[in-house]
Amino acid sequence: MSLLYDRRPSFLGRTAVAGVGYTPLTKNSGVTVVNLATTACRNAVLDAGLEPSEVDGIVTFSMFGDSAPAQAVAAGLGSPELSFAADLSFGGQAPCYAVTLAAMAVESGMARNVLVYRALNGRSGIRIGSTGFRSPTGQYRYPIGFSAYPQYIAMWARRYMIETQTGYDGLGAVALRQREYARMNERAIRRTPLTMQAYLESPFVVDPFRTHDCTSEVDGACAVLVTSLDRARSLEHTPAVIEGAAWSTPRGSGLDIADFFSWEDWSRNSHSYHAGRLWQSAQMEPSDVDFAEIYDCFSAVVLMSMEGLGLVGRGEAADFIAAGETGPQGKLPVNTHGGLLCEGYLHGMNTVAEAVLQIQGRSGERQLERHDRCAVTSGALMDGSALVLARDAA
Amino acid sequence: MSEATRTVQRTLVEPEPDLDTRWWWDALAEDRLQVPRCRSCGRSFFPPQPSCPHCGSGEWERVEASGRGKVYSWVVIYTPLDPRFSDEVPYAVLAVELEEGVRLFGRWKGTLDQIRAGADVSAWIYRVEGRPLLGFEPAEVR
Repeated sequence: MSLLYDRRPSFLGRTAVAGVGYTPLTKNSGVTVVNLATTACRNAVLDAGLEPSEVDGIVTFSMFGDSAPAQAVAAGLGSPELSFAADLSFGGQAPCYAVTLAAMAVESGMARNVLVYRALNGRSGIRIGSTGFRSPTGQYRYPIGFSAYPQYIAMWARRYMIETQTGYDGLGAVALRQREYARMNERAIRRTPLTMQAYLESPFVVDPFRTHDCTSEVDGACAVLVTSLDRARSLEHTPAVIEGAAWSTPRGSGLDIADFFSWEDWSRNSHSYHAGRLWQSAQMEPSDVDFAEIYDCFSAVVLMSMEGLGLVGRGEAADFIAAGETGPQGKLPVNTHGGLLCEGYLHGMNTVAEAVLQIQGRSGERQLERHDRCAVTSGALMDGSALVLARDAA
Repeated sequence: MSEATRTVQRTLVEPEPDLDTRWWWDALAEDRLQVPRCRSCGRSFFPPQPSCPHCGSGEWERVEASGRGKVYSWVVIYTPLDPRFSDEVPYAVLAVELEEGVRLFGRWKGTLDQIRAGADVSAWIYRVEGRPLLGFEPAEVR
């Protein structure tokens, strides 16, 4: 079901993520989004071992005006001149793709050092995850009280559960496993231990989802710095080499980010479609990666996306997770920061950043023993993107 | 609230039709469920839009839908993320696949414990403050 590339895209194996930056993740930042964005970006630049004046490209994404544009961050960094900038009107499908665009800009010569960031006061400001938004197909949802993302993705989760005979405990397994990682992540918003009994006894928000199945909205920002592999080798940390990349907008993607009427199978998301291109471009098989960071605005998305990429077989993800195989000692650790469920909703930019930190061996208490190659996803539903990152062997 | 509770929609949140979709809402106001059908590939689609999402043809027609379909998926909303629906929870929203091959959303007129994947249902057009909305009810009602 996946179109293949005619050839390996030229930026792969020749570009890398060199640094990451965050702001604190809070329920009320007390500062503007441009402040958050600039802070995370400055941190990423300095983390890489560069000066803010060396940034000549910026890629970012936002929804409904909830962020600050690339030009504002350029101003905040005192950037002499950007030669590449992109403000994407995208949500969770964007982070891996934004890194891809940055890498393409570097490889093509359009820019040398490109920041990719997501910044939002997602808790105290515009709460995109839990409110309606102007959309051409909102007219079929809002009048009947089908109002926001948790409900839409719950609709997919139900279909997934029907198709794969997955029970509520399958969703719970995702929440439990990620909570265990979150206990080792000081950035995480949700760190208290969770048991299956407590999970199953907690009330539904929207059946089949409970609070534990839903990401934690936060205020904050996260950024990564993309540059050439050659330059990255001269910088502060081991380069996280961009080895594989894919984006897809398959047929049936609809008129807006919540229009899935025409989508054939609500139990399979975009990752089922671009998996072939991702592995082709990385010159790897799913079994070649040591761990995975999977976009998880909601628990069920982890199951769909792991299966979509072929990391596990169809309908096998919940049992795999319940058996501990995505834990620190498992066959394939997944969402080692606790995921968006626990760390907080920076729209998956932090999913990419965690992959980079693990690859670079900088994840502290939760650092994995095997951390050479990682699959990363962005996006829950129709369109989405993915990367394969690898520890530079040079 | 028990699982057998039958919820009735009382809250009006106005639909906002656009130039591509007004005809669909106008038909609904006449108690008619219509869907666009492509003249090129013959497939029906939803929502109304300038061209067929299956083949890209701009040639399509409006056809009457049977109103008969099967439950494809559903959710039960306990926390209304739109607070205007706070006094209606819990309520179910169904995704139904009509015989014509299109999927539609609608409130469920039956009880929550009646909902089953693949169950036969019928379109049910109801009104809130005079505005027509699409819902579904168990097929055996008709």
